[in-house]
Amino acid sequence: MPPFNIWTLAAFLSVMALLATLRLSSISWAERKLTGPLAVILSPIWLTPLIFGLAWTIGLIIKGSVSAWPPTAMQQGIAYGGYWAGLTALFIVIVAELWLVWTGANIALRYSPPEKRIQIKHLPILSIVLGGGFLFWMWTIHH
Amino acid sequence: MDDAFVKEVVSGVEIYGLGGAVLLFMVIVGEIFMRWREGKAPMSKEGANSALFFGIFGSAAEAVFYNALLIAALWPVYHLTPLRIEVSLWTLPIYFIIGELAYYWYHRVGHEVRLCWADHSIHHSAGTYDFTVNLRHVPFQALYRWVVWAPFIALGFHPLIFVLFTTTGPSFQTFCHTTRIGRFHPWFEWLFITPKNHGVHHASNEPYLDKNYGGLTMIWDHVFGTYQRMEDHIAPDYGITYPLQTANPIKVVLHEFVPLFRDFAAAPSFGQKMGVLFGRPGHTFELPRGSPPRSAASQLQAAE
Repeated sequence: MPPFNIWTLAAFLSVMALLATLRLSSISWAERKLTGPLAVILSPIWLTPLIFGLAWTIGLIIKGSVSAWPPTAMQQGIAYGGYWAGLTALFIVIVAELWLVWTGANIALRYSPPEKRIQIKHLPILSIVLGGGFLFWMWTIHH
Repeated sequence: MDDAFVKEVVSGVEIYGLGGAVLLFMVIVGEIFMRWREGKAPMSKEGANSALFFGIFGSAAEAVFYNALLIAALWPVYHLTPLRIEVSLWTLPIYFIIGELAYYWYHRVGHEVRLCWADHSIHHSAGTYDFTVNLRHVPFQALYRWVVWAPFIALGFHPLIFVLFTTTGPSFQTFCHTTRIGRFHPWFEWLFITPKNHGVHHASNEPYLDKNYGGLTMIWDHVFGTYQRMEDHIAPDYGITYPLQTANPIKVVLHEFVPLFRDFAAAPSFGQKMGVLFGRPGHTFELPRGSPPRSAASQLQAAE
């Protein structure tokens, strides 16, 4: 295993943010009461770094500094700062893309009362079109 | 001063702003879609005006023009002071915390000094509380930002980095202008700006009035005693104490300036005139207005 450095911490935080994001990406999982280690591992506390990290990652994708394609982003990360930076780039790009195409819409659905949830049930489709369209646009520009 | 590092920080903030703009676009489109699906107008009239008028003369102008002017106007202060706070990886947390303090006081002045409130109330004038309120930026805040922030620059903070840090963290508020998201975990609600915390700030009824001035965090609200949790049994009454009866953007801009100047002219003494300008809204000499203010007491009764 490559030696630990500051990117090891970043990679750890990124993977935890990814797990917490995946939990919020499913209404049933998001509403499920968790106990024990799973409650810690999937806690929303791990989303806190996204206050800065989410917009920053999307900005990096716009600038072309990081690819919208996670494996390429990982290679770019490795070239920039080594193995742990590569893992960080991989996880954080996946997190950002999940928020762009799915998770945000899913949260809006989750917090809506049942009657409104039916009315806005197509919100995730809009999110996929908008977020996916944006990512595809970025991918075509920078490749 | 490491200029290369300063450039790196500026570039980082620019990247953050680009990503934030994409997220803002996404949430506004989502808001329009949800309103449409709920059988409402895709945009409220005031929301549409916000987008068209304040979006151009507020948000966009602030992003490219007002902040640049503000930074330029702070540079002479920086050149005059012998003090310097280096911009390095180790001092950035200081820039962040002090930036939050500076934002808190600029924001509090915007609410508690009537001349500044005439400007800042434009942002609060929407009776709705959704993502379009973000676009209702105000035209003159750079002026009182300068007044509040110049002393910080005199302490040696680098103007460019200081302004970027002071305005970038609070940009997270963008995603808090919504009633669609519920309460977060108690520790997060205590520490950070959230839809509930910022909803308190946009409410005009007691006990919410003039609370939660924080930018990204609520730290300085806790320190200065202005933090207020949104209570389940007291519904927030969004908007201002003298609700606007119009969505006309010109009238929205002038809605507090007109009574301010009228009260200033009518105030019988010099002290009262100064009070009208620099006193706390609601506590200065005031001529009767056309519409009565919302009564805090009756609102409390209604909520109970």
